[in-house]
Order: sequence, then structure tokens, then C-alpha cells
Amino acid sequence: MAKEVVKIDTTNPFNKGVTYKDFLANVNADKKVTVDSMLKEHKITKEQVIWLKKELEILKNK
Amino acid sequence: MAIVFSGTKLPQSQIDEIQAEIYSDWATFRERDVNIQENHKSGTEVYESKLTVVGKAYTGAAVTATGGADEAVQRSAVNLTKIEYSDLIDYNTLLDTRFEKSMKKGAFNTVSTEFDNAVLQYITPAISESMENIVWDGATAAQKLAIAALVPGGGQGAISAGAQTLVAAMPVNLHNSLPATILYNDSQSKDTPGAGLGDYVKVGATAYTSATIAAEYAKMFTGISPKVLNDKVNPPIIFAPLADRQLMLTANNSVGAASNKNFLFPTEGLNSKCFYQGVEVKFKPLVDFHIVSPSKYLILLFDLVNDMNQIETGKMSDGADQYYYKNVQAFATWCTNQRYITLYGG
Repeated sequence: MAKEVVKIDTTNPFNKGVTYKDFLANVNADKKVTVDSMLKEHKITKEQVIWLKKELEILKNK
Repeated sequence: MAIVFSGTKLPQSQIDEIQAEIYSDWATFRERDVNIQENHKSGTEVYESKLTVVGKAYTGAAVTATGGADEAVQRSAVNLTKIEYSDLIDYNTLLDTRFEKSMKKGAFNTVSTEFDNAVLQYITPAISESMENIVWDGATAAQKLAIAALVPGGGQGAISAGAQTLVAAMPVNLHNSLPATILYNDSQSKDTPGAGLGDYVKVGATAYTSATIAAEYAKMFTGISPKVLNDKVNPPIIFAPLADRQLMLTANNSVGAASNKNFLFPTEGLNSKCFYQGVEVKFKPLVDFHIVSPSKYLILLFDLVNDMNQIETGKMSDGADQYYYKNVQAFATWCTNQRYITLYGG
């Protein structure tokens, strides 16, 4: 039996197994998709947003 | 007639006690705060089992295989790493000091009993402190590279970028600390067996002060699996950095503001136990990481834990005047049932 492929929504960075690389790949200036716009789409707390932005900053400075 | 003195004036008295360094408590080994397993020489096997049972309609007929039912057991091999603490001692450097008085007559005799009793006796506590530090902080160079190579992410099943930064800043040791092992290991019992990210529950960490420590502990508490929290036989323990005790006490005694005593210290004094929402907090030389786990899932594998207190000493050979001390031990850190371990900062 073929294994079922489950598509993960990578616009929510808190979904299990979603990497920052997957998440940031969705950013598209032409379609006005930004980090903030994606975060707004999901039920993400203010605290999580602050934590995530710090994470992305660490990633940027690596 | 005036007294005339020429020459160098020297102090003519001394404080008898030689003021020793403070050596941290090594409760992990003494009180066995984690699961210490001995009698392993160079390596060992760790077995984990997991049973899945499925209820189905009664038939009265012969038993057949049940779909979904599973009786699994996995074996992981763990290698112990042998290390030594050793050095040379040249008592000749103690000449012209107070220690001369305790040396026997004769130019050959330079062993100072006072130095032995007042200074060298702290070798064992110093080793124990070093071991305690190794268990809770640090990683091998290879482990650091492996963790740095993981692809970070925000949710479960991915390491946080913050954790990678913390591991990069860890001291390079010959052993992996418990946080380093939890983050990356080659257990065969993980969802994806073999070398890779651990199966721990991640809780995002944020720098905190006495004003915000309670909020961070609330996050940790929320991250504990309810199954673990309700296990009366093996209750979870929060392993926290040493400095948290100060922040908790300060938080409990905040001045001028309405205050909730979030952290329970059952007795007065600094050696009191500590609890958060009924979960005992044990303070360890962790750096930023906090581990919440039943202690039995955090394993230290030893040949003999008492090796820590065994020191061989003697005079070097071939006429050399130096002496040596040597302590040898073999150990490794390991973790089991990783899906029940919460790693704050992971």
C-alpha cells in the first residue's frame, strides 16, 4: 500500500517538523507574503511571536 | 641608642588555616539525582520496550494476529569514554614557604605533610565538581558539529536556533552533557531511530529575571506531558541552573509589589528543597537549559561511580623528585523514553 503523504502547512512555523528554511521559503514580496502576514494567519500568541522573531534574528546572524 | 636594622622585613606570623577554594556540591552522584548505572567497562546496551495493545470484539475462536498491536523492544549501544585527572607535583617549589616546616630533615626530603593535608586533599572535591559540570554542561567537538548541522525550526521535531547557539557556547569536553545528549543522540528507540535530533518536547526559552522567572516556569510546566505529571511512581523533576534559586527567592520576596509565592521552599535556609506546582526543582550547573524529566530517564553509565574518589599517588621513577596523582574513570550520559523529557531551551 502506498504511504500516505501528509502535506504540512509550512506557513505556521510552530507546526511539527517545520524548519525555518521551509517557513522563510514562503516569503514572497510580489504576493505580499511576509513573516508577519504568515504569523497573523495562525493562532500564535504574542509571546510566541516575540520568541520566533528572536530565533530568526539568531538565524540571520549565524 | 637607636636600633639599627638592615635587610628585608618579612611578616612574622600567618593565618594558620589555608583558605580553600569553594567546591560545588556534587549531589548528582552523592544523592543519585539521576539514574546512575554501574558495572559497565567500555560500553553497554540499553534496551527500551514499548507495547501497543488493541481491544477488539470477542469471538471465542482461536487467537489471530491483531492489526495495530505491537510488542516492540529496541537496543541502543552506548560507549563509555575513559578519562583521567592527573598531574605532577614538585614539592621543591614549596621551599622558602611555610611548608618547609613540615618537611623531614635531609635535602632529599621535600614532601610537605601540611601541603598534603591542607591543599592536596581538595583534589577529590575538585574532581567531583569537574564531573558535575561535565554531566550538566558541555559537549564533544563531534557532538557540537552534529548539533550545529541540524536544521532549526520553531515547532516540535526541530531544534531551536537558540539551542544551537547555547551548544556552540558550551565548553568542549570529552563527554556529552545530558542536555547535549538529549538534543542529539543515536538511540534506536526514537521515532526516527539512529543519529539525529532527540525526541524531546521542546519549550522555547527566553532570558528571564526575578520578575519573569515564574512565567518561564509556567511554560516549562505546560510542556510536561500530562502522563508524566500524573505518574506517582516516577514523578518528574525540574533540573534548573544554579542561579535560579536566587531568582526564585527574590521573586518570592519582591518588594513593594503584590506578590505570589510561586516557588515553594518548605524550610528556611538556603539548603531548602524547592518545588514548583508540586514538581521538585533541583539546581545543577546547567547553562540556560532546563530539563524536566523523571530522573530514571536521565542515565549516567559508569564503570564505578566511586572511581571519582580513587586517587593513586606516588613518586616518579628513575630518580626524579616529582610525585604524581592520577584518577581514572569511565562514563557516558544517556537518556531513554525521550518523548517524555521536556527540554526548556531545546
